[in-house]
Amino acid sequence: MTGRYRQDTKLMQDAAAGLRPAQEAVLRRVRHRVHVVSSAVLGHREDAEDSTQATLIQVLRRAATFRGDSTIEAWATRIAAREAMRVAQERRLRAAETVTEEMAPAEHTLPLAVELAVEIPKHIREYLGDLPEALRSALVLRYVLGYTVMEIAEELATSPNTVKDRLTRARSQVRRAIRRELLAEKPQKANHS
Amino acid sequence: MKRDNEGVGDLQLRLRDWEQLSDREALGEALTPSEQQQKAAIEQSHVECAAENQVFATLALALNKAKAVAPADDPLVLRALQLVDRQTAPLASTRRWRGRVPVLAALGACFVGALLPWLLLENADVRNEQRSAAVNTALPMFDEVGALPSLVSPALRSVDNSLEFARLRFFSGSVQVDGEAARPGATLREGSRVSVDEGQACISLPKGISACVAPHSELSIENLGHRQALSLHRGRVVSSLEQQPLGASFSVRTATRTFTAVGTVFAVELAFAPGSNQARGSALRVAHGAVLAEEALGSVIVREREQLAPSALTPAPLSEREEQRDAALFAAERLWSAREHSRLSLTLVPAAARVTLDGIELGTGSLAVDVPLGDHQISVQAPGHVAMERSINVGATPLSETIVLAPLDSTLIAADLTEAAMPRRDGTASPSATELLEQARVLRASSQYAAAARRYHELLQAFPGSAEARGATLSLAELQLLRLGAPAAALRSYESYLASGGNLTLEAHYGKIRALRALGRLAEERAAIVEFLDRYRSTAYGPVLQKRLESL
Repeated sequence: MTGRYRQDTKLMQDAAAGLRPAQEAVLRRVRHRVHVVSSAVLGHREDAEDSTQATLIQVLRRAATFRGDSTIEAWATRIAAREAMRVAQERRLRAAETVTEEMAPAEHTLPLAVELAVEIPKHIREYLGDLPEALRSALVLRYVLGYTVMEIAEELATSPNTVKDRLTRARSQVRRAIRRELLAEKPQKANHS
Repeated sequence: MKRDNEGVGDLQLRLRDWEQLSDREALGEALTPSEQQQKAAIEQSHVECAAENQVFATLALALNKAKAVAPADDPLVLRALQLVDRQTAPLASTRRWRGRVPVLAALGACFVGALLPWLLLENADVRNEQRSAAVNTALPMFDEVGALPSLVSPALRSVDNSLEFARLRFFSGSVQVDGEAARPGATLREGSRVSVDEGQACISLPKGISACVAPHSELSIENLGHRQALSLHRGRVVSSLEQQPLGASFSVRTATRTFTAVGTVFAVELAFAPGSNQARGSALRVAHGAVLAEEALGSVIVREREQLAPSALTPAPLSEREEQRDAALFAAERLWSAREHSRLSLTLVPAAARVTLDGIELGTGSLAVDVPLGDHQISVQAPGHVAMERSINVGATPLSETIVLAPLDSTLIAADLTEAAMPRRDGTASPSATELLEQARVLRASSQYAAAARRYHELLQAFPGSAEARGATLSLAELQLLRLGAPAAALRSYESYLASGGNLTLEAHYGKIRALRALGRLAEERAAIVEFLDRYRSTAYGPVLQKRLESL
């Protein structure tokens, strides 16, 4: 058995062999993490659920390829990010064709905290939700998953310069939103005082 | 938010300084100690900075908080376990298929039972009807596995159902239709023959079917009716079709086999013996869905991520390399998936220049492609020329553009003029390391890559031990490799960075491997990959390089 994470490797081998308790243990460990990543990238409840579901299945189907070089969670996180970006790309093209009732604007908020014990504060979800998908993906990969610029470029199949540009633009948009809020707060505080 | 002790102008300047430092840090650059002190000082006195830091720090913590273990009865976990058990599970949309899992499992069992007696039937008509029924029953199940890794997902496929004929959607290089040079948007009818020499072509057919033809390939349109069919005479074609109406199907025929599907993505390739013009059979690779392969000896269903070799009777797992090769050929199909598109024709000088549109490699030389209306990003590169990247707006009227890349030498001259005109913050003193770095960035941002490289060189010579120099070495290497077509120089820069060390050692290692690859020094590339994997196997580059190592 190779890799640093031998217990995880054993668990994944059991899951790959079809042992139900091992499969269940793996999925329960990664489920919340996968959902956080899916939701942060997609910003749409049902797309995030679809993406989470697809990722969980991929985790089991690829279990035999797990080499123990990282934790199961880290390994699954990368699968989740890739799957969420694939779904985002599909959605972009789907949206270009038709706007359905399912995609009414009210659904476009990030849904994380409602049914999960995991939470990204509401104002941050709103900042993310306001960003175009390409910028949001770059920001999530950088800050939520801790990817380097080079890694993001590799993941998004684009150049490091494009990634840097997207990150800078994303940060700039978030920065503006923060400052708008601070400006809005200031008069209120002044009124209170 | 003006502070008592500073004016609005000072505040803006300080905030701008902080933003620049903060952004650089966010992009992975190491700040000098003095810059760190400056940044910290501004943060202490500006609530905006603290608020922003808080937001990004909270975002970074989000995943670490997601350590909770889901309960045993978590519906997503339970459903995933069920679906994996059944192998042919409905995954593409949980909301669409919610509650229908038992029905699909039953259909799966029926399919196996229905297919066997069908293979034994001798009556051709009955056989055709039953084939349609069997494939129509089977394919929805396979098709729903779309959420798994696949070449092209259903939503990416063309949905141009209103077509009553086929149309040439994209071609690059040398392509002929019925013996004449291809025209953008050419109409294709039954009997039309498409020949691709150096280049590639994509066509759309009625009922949401698309096919991309590889270089050195030839096919003809056999049937555009309810049972659409293409005949492949040589080379390779990748086809994608959305779920067809009941009774409708799409086939690719070769001399020895017929491949039929009702909703899938698959590639057919004729195989030739070395040095022979005689095809020794046809191979099938299924990226998504399922395809019925028929030949004189019998039939077999080939499913997602499986392939059927020319002489094989049973499918084998699809290699990732082949899948990626087919995906690359089919990538352009994404461009005309949108409902509204217009034609973009490009003429490239030099003809060897390679063009990428919105990240999709389109080939070399002159080309025409249907693209969605709106802004697109074009990137053009050619050896010995300055790469060009810019936005282009495609409106309802077809757009023709000629893109001429400047040779590297002339750019150097132009860059010198630009540099001479560039204002210095201090008119007399030599620029500092920070100023040189800033100037290099400005030049790079305005696509003056050779001039930017010169600034980096100046910085490296004037301030060899500085923190700026370390970052500049890697930036210079990236420019040399990606923009200036100078992999040998890039290799020297990467090795220089590795020799001095820094926070971006991993990236420098990876860059060195790419430079070696670009130089064609495969043995050294192999050794560098082995060394990289020893140190950084668990990084994002690990799997990519492992694949590369296996292919070397």
